[in-house]
Amino acid sequence: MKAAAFPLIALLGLSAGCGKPKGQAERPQAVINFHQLFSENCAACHGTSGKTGAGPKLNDPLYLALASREDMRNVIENGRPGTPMPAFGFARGGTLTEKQIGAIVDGMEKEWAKPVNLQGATLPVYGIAKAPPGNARRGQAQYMRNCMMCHGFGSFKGIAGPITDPNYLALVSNQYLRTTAIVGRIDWGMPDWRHRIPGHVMNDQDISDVVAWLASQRPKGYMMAENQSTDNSFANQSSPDSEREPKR
Amino acid sequence: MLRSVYNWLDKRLYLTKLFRSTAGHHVPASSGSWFYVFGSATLLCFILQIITGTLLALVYVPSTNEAWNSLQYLNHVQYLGWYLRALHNWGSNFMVALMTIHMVQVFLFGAYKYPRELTWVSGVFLLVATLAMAFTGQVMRFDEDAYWGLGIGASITGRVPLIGDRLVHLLLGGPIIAGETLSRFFALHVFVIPAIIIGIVGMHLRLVLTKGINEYPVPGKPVRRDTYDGEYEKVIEKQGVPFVPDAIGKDLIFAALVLVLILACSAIFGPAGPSGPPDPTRVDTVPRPDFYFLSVFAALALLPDWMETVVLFVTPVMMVGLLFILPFISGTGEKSARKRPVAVLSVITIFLVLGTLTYMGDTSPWSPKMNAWSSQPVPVDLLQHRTPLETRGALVLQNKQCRNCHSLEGHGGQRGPALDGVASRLTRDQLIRQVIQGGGNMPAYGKNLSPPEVNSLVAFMLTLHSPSRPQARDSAQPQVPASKKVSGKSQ
Repeated sequence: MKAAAFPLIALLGLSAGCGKPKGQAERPQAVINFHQLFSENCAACHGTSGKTGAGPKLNDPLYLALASREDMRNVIENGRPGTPMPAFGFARGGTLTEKQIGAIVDGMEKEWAKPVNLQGATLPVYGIAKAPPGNARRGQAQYMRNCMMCHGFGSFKGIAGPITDPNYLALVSNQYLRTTAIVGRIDWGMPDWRHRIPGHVMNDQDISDVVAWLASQRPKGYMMAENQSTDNSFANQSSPDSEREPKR
Repeated sequence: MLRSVYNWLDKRLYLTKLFRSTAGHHVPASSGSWFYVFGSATLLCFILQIITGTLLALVYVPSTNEAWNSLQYLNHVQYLGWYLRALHNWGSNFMVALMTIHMVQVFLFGAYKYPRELTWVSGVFLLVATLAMAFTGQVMRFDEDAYWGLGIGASITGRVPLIGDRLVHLLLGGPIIAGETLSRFFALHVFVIPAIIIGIVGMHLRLVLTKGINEYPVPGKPVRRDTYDGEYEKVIEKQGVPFVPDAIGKDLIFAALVLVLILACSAIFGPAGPSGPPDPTRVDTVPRPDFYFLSVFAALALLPDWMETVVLFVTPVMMVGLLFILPFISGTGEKSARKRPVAVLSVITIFLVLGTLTYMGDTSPWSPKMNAWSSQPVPVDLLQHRTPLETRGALVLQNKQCRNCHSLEGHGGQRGPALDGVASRLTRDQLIRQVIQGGGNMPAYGKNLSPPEVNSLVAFMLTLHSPSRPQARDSAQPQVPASKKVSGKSQ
């Protein structure tokens, strides 16, 4: 009876066909499965399922409501020069085709986007180019009011650690500062723009002002590309640099 | 009626006589042991390979453009085509394994000694031929593993002094892997080497018949050239039994077991590959040779440069040469493994070395994991309660592809040291210096990192230490509590 067990196992295996090859090896450019693409290209910085990563949280209905598909396509394709976000587009030396980038954007929208209840507040503008120009001096006051409790000022470090550290500011774009100022980092405990101070909602102008002040704290020579292309509005009106210069 | 037909045939074909002199020949009763079944099982595998191989050849197209597709056809379209491929694959795995066991058994039982030297030598030829079958068979799969395996084979061949170029030309049918290459290997795999194997197996079996099967070795009964033949004849006379039907029983049971195992493994584990198409423009491949060659792969990867040529050409010649001359340098003496400690230790050593190298070849910790930077997340617990600067540092770590060589919590490359706990090994200054100037096997990243990038990266790495092991500190600036200072001085 024992000897009969082996052919039985073989027969079982055969009928189940568990050894049958599942699918053929795909060329990397042929992969359009969102989960595979995300885990191979994005998860390392943005977290396993788009959250609790070192980089911006993407699995966030608020963020997905704020940034348009075109914005996200653009960032994936071209990266953010000067920041750790590389360009993934084929034309920019990356590994992803347009179709694959489309699949990632579609996947994020499909899996993670949800209707957001704004609780009466209006969603600020996403792009710094379209945002109202900021005023650094007003921005400092806004920082003291909205950010200082956690991020500290001067010798007070705050529980979340300083964001006025020049090394930090040299590695983040104004767009990143603006986006984070709006959506926060819920996964790491940073509230969004509506919930910093009870009863107070930052408006579009407040956010632009804070970003302008933080940008004015950045050491010279960093994030030049972004400043040139989109931050000219600052220079024309109330340039944070021109305001800071006399102080030094 | 049947009897008269048989008699008519027998008179012309001498069937009875043939049976008596081959299958019916007398063998020592002691050789009807479970240790003596591996040779016949290897032969069974070979026959199975011929059958499945012939069937595969009906569909397989030996052309560089079509080979990979025809395997996909077998795998996915042809009814049970995948099972046929699996049988051929597992047949070859079992053949190599059983042949190795057979060889070890023959070695440990002293069966290669006088007068069976040529049986052993023909067996060594069969070993080389079977490995050649395994290599050429891997090429038949014509996927990326096959392609790069061929490339490595060709560049090894190209290093042969003086005639290297011509040998490569002969092997590949040109200077590069191209249209004719696969045809050549197909011819080798299907016609040339099998023919050689059939020929040598014939000789091997004939020698088994004429020189007899080795009797079960008895400790304390050494082989002597002048007396052995007489002793063996006596053994056959006294305890000889006909191979068929007496001694073949265990062979048959084992053969059936092997057959069932091959059928089961094929059904359960399926065929090997083919992996990605053989496209040299694909850089993101991780080609691996088949199981039997992983040890060679590991040895070549781990060798220092200057030893390569020596090891490539001297070692194989030495090893195969040693196998060839073995029966001539130890052709007499004790046969039993109980009285041959050196033989037993050699077998153990060889298998430990091969096993370790195979394991290393499989894991290959020397290669960076080229996709770790984009696919291995920074462990969440390493990101909790970090300042914005430290978190940015984690992003720089990913973006600059540090993870391809350095692991965090076991994920990432193993080319460089793991970064868990790096802060308790290196101080801030040492970390900065290491990142900027490199050292050891690490390249210098000074030109690829801006000062803020270095600062944030180091800020993040300074958080990488377990709570029980504090950060490393600069010995020039001791900040040790007084109580510890005293105990330090007294030591």
